Parts: sequence; structure tokens; C-alpha cells
Amino acid sequence: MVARAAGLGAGIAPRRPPASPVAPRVPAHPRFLHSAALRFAAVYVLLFGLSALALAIFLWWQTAGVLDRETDNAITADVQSLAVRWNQGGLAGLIITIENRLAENVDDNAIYLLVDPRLQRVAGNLAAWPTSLPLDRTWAELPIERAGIRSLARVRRYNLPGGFHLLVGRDVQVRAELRDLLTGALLWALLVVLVLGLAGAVVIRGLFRRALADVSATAAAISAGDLSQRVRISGRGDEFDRLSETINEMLERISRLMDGVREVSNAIAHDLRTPITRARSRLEDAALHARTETDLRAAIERATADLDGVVAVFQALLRIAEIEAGARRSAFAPFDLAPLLADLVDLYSAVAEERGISLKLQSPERLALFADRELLQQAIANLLDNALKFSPPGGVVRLSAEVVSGMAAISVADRGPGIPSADRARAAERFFRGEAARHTPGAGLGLALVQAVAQLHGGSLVLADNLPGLKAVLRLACTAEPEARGEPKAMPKGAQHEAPAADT
Amino acid sequence: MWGAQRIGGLAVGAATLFIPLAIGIDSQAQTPAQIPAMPLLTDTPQYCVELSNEVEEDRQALVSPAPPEVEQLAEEGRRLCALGEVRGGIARLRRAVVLLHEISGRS
Repeated sequence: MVARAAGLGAGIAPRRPPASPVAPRVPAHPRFLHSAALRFAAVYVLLFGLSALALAIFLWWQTAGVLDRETDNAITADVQSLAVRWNQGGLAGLIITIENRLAENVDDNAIYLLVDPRLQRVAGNLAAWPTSLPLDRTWAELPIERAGIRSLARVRRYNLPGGFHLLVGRDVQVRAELRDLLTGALLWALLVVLVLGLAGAVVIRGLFRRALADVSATAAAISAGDLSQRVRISGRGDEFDRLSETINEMLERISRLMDGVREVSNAIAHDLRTPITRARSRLEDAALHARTETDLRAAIERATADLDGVVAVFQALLRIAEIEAGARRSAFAPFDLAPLLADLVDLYSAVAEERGISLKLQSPERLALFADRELLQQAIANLLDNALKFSPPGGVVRLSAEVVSGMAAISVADRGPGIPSADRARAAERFFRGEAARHTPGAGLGLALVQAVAQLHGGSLVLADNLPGLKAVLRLACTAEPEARGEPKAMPKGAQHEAPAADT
Repeated sequence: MWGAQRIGGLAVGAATLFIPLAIGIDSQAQTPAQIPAMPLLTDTPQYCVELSNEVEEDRQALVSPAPPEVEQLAEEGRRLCALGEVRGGIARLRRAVVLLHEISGRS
């Protein structure tokens, strides 16, 4: 690349890769106005204040508002009855009625004024038509004087035929004072509510920050390299606990993936070094000591075989990593498992027959799945491979499938040496090889791939004692159709497949 | 943050609108102190005399003697008016008028 750049001539500088944009770093302590906790607290104060305001308005409406409406209704009723009196008795009748009502006004709150078209007083307890009262207004509040003390009246104007005007009202000073008292009390109450709201907001803000502090501290510790840290769960089962649980699950998965990477790195360092070293030794030996072309070719072919084995292991590792990363979910599709099982039995029948092993199939006629067909095929093939590898001659390997409680269970059972219970928990680890497998070919990745496939499909790989032998059950949570769920169907005739044993 | 600010602004506006409406602060209805107050003619010693005369006329118009409480209320009313307690006196005289009207069926 340098030479090519030099050949282009002088003056053309090599291109630098564009600088990657660096995200602005959030300060450890956000500025006060940008704090999310403050926003929550502000919303709390706002809602609290609005609720209190609504309550205050309602209370005022139900108290002072009721008093005002009662006064207006009383005045209106008074006006209407006087209008009737006018219609019945004319001006004289109205005057007498007004004077009687004033004489009988035990509550001492009535106000009447009847004026002629020239606004001259005819009857009532006001001396003249109030100049501050426009003729175009029906309702008004009027300052009055009672025994030298200023007071307030609410009055209503009513126009009578003939140009006469009637003013009817009530002394509302007491009610006005009560209203002012109530208004003042409510305003002070709103102030108290505001103070309480602010105090509550401070508490809310503190709770919010404390709830997030755990998450922040844990994330910071993990960023510093301590993957064992987990977010504390309070046990209240609230939204923060759910968030904490989700974060912890994510951390567990990351930790498992990191452990997997570590394991693979270690395994590659230890287990793959041997075949690579062996291949190198053979080539080196051939280079130093091969006398003929035939010897050289043979050494190269043996080294190639060793390296092919290494490549196969790497391919298997990559496939397992791909499966664990969930990159294969897009290959999920609905298909029928039954024909796949039959094909596998057909494929392995020859091998089984060759080894004198009976290979049997128990499967419903149809088993619908929503899964990755290729991965399942490989996983089941790995189980069959292991079962046939470890079964003695004359043994039986049984491949069966059923659906129980919505889960598909595919099991491969053999009568071989099995896996000791102490080793079963580690049997699906990468490169793990039990004592019985020490002398059989393999890299210890078969069950690891099967487990990865099971987890990708929302299931699990269960290894159990077949008494004797091993029973490997691949459980999948990917049944596609309702009829595939529930109790297993009865085995139809002809569904069993048996390869005849070599020695009969 | 913008959502909270908008809500806050709306709330302040609503409070500014509703509180004055709620407490009935109406610029047209509010009576400033400089508007002269109109005295009521029924809070004066002259009205005391008028009511006292009406009580006397109504009492004499009765067929049967008035109940003692009417006399008592009327006497108290006149006495209070004479002492300058005009509103108190008028209140008792009014009660006497109401009783007399009830007796005579005029109310």
C-alpha cells in the first residue's frame, strides 16, 4: 500500500481514515436544571398544586358560591313577586307592598327603590337612584351606609311599564366578609400546599436519585472491570426492581458470554496447540528426513489432515458462537420434524448396522415446529453420533420425539457407559471430554453445540441416566400449531424403524 | 423537560384565569372606596318613629288585645331607638309588626 502510494507521484498524501465521532460525555453530576430527578419532582409539585387548586375552587364554589347564588335567587324571587303585585295593584299596590316588606324585614337586609321615569324616588329605603349604577346593567354591587358604617349591597334593576324603575337588593356585607375570609383561607391553604408540595418534591427527588444510584454505581463498577457486580434488588417488586432484575439478567448473559470467550481462548491455547504442533513436527520431520517424493507427500497429507481437524474445530467454535449470539433467529421457519427424524435414522442406519447397533425411532406422524431446521438437524445428528459412538455392539439407540405442555422433547437414549452424574453438569462445556471419551475421536464440542441450539430455541439440553447408558433430551419451546401441544399422540403403526443387528 | 414546562405554563395560566373567576373578582362589579355609599332610609330614627306609629295603629286595629310579647317588643324597640341603638330598635319593632300582621292576617 505504501509502494502504491509512492507510485502515484509527489503531492498526493495518503488518505487518513475519517475520525470517528466522539459522543459528548455526560457529566458525573448533571446540572441542576437538567436533572431528571428534578423534572419528576417538578411534575409532582405541579400535579399536587393543580389538585389542591381544583379542590380549593370546588370548596369555594360550594361555600361562597352557594351563598352568592342564594342571594341572587332571593332577589330574583322578590322581583318577580313585586312584578306580579304591580300587575295586580298597579303603582299604589306596589308602593304598599314595598313599605310592608320593609316593615316586616326582620333580617334587616332588604333594599328597595321605586323611581318614576325622572328617576325620582317613589318608595323604598334608598334616597335616590344610584348614579354609579348604569341603566343598561341588570345586576350590580352597591356601596351603602348603615348607621354610619359602610356596607355592601347586591341589587337588581327591573324596568316597569310606564318608565318606572325598580331596584331590589340585599345587604351582602356579611357574606362579602365571609367570602373574603374564605378566599384568604384558601389562598393561605394553597401556599401551605405549595410548601408541602415542594417538600414532597424534595423527597421524591431523593427517592428517585437513591433508586438510580444503585444502578449507576453498579454500572460504574462493571465499567471499571468488576463483572461480578449486580444491581441491588429491594424486594418490593416495583418497577425499579424489575429494571434491576432485567439489568442483572443482562449482566449474567454478558458474564456468561465473557466466560465463554475466555474458555474458548483457553481451550484454543491448550487443545488446538497439540494438532498444530503435530502438523508442524511432521512437516519439519519430512523436510529434514524425507528421502522420496512419496514420503514427502505422505507427510504433507498427514499434516493436512491434522490442520483440517483444527479448521473443523474452529468452524464448530464459530458456529457455536454464532448460535449463542442469536444471529440465527432469522432462519426460523415452520416445518415438520417427523420427516427430519426419519431422514436422520435412514442416514445413520448404515453406521448402526455396521456396528451391530439397533437404531429405533418413535415419533408422531406429524410434529410441527417453528425452528431452524438445519441447526436442529445438526444437533440431533450430534446426539446420534455420540450415542452410536459409545454404544456397544448389540445395543439399542432409541430416537424419540413428543410434545409435552407445549414443549417439543427430542431424546436420544443409548445403552453405553453413560456420563457419571458428577460430569453431566460440565458435559456441554466446550472441549470437555469425560473419562469414557478419552480414547475416542472428537474435540468435545458436540454437546456444546447441541446446548447452544437448545438455548437459541428457548429450550434446554437435559442429560439423564438411562440405566444403563445416557439419555439426552433436547427440549424446545418452539411448537408451531395448537394440535402439536398438549398430551403426546399415540404412536401410529409403522412409525418405528429398526436396523437389524449384525449378529442375530 | 419541554413537556413539563408546557404543563407548568398552562397551569399558571389556568390559575391566573380561574382564581379571579372563582372568587368573583370582576372589575365592573368591584366597588371602589371612592364611590359614595348611599344611606338606607330604614336605618334612621325617623324610621323608628314610623314603625312605632305603625305598631300602634295595627295594635289598636285589632279586635282583641295584642299578645304581651308585642307590647314588650314595641317597648324595647322604642327604648333602644331613644338610646340611639337605631338598628336594634327597628329590628324589635319589625318583629312586633310581623306578629301583628300574622294576628290580623295581613302578612
